[in-house]
Amino acid sequence: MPPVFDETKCITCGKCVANCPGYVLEMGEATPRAAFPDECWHCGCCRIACDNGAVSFEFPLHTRL
Amino acid sequence: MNVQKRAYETDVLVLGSSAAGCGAAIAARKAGAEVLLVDKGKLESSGCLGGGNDHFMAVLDEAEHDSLEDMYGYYATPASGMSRGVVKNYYRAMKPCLKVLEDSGIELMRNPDGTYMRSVGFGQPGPWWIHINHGFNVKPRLAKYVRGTGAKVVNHVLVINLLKDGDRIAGCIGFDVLKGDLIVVRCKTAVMGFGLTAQRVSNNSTHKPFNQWFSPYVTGSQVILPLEAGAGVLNVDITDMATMLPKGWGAPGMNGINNMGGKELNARGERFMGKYDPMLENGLRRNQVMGTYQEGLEGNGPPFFMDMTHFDPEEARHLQYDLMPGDKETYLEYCEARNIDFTKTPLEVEISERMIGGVVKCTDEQETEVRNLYTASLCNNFSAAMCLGWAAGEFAAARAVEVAMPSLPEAEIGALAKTVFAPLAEKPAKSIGYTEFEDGIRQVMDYYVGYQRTEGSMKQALKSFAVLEEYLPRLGASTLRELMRVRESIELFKLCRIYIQACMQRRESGRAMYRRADYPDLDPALEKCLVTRLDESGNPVFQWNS
Repeated sequence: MPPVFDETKCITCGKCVANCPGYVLEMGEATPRAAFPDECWHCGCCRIACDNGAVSFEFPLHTRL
Repeated sequence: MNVQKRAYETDVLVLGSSAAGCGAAIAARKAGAEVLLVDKGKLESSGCLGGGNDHFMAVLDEAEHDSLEDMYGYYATPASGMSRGVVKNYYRAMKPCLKVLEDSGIELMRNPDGTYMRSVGFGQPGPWWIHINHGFNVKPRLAKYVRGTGAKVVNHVLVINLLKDGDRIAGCIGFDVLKGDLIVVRCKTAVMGFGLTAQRVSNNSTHKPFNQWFSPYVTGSQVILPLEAGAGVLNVDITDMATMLPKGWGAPGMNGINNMGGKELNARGERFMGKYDPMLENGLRRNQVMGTYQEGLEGNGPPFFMDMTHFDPEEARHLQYDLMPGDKETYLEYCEARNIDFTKTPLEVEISERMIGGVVKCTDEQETEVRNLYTASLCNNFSAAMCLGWAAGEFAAARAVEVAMPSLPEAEIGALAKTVFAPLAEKPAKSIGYTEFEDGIRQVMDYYVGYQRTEGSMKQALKSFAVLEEYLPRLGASTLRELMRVRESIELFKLCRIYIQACMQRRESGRAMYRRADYPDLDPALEKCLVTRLDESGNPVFQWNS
């Protein structure tokens, strides 16, 4: 459910981090990372902010049960 | 801690930058006022609207049951908290708001004859819900429009108190959640546009409190800040909302599914909603949730399903692939993870967590009991928020022309500044984190104050809240982010405790999203609003507003 980032597409511009309404993301070395994954609302604002198609979502176990 | 102070001054202060705040900011700017728009998040993604929206309600005098009179019949009821004057404000702002949305590039869908594509929803008499295509773009596009008006936007500010000069609003105080600056705003007038209802007060089946229907970053400022400033708030006992969720996932979308003809089925494969609402699934949301709850009590579920397999394939495709991702951008990944195809198999659903809030008491001009403080959030949908925000922005701008800049209460500001940073600056002994504390709130709310409750269970809940209160001084924070969550937890605690006390006043069932087993029937004499105010000690006092 929290976003995952494609290193080959991410240019570490930080727009996704800035647009996360839950302050869930932090900038890492190659890509941002979901530092607080349990507090993600999976709203997709990070992906909407990304100009490079670097963001996708993986839904965790509890959403499949 | 070395805290920097940032001070601002404006004609109209707009608190909250989601749909209500955007409507207020745009209208106040168009009226010529200087506007400062403040939010804990960032304008481009804040609030429920940050997650997208697939419908905008508009009454357009184009169809049967499509007039202001029909709106009065639906909204201006004795227990709604909305007067005929407020409903008229809503109606009058619809066309200007539609123009703003279209000028922003938001895709309101139209029929071949040029009229808006609309559907019936929520037990309303007319086809009032315009479909939005690519609804996940709504917030960034509206944000661009807001910035274009020249409104000053201050992001990342958690507001902790309203400030007054005598009986009138004077501004607010808060802190920058990224930089730690103390923020003080002075204003002539202000608009309350925070979220009407708080999340994280209860859990769905996943027990993940941020995996919820509405924005989990809304924790009750719309109720607590005005109450603490001396305003009355209506309907804390019945502004209690829930919905059906896709199983395991906190996503909206049931409006689209219901109004296009989705059939809810119980575990026996029976369509049961006819027992609970004459409009079946497309009736009142409360009836769908409580009907499903009753089916569960009778052993007819879980599981529950929404069946769309009878839809025309193109309609099912439009619903799943156009509308649903507009309501939540990540919808299609969820569908992929669970192998969901609306045309082939019914969608499993569950009863959601509950959310609670209140309607700040106001005049027909949306002015609250604090002079020059207006409210925008009176009803829980994108259209109502934006349109009533628009009206509040106009009223606040007009008043700002007439009044002088107030004085700020400097001594109070000094004391509040010390209080707000205390959990971070002086980490308390035996400190506990916000997660443990908040889990305690939800444990009590779900166990004693759930979909079914009694006077006795609510009294027991208040005893548990007395225990939680002992832990308030122990809430600690190591970072500004934790400090933000601590403030939210304190707000949730206050809201939930007032909510329980308010619910104890309403001795009936059927008007809210819960059933009182000790008062199982609707009482026609209680078709009225409960007003909550705080006394000098901060305890709630209640009064029926007939």
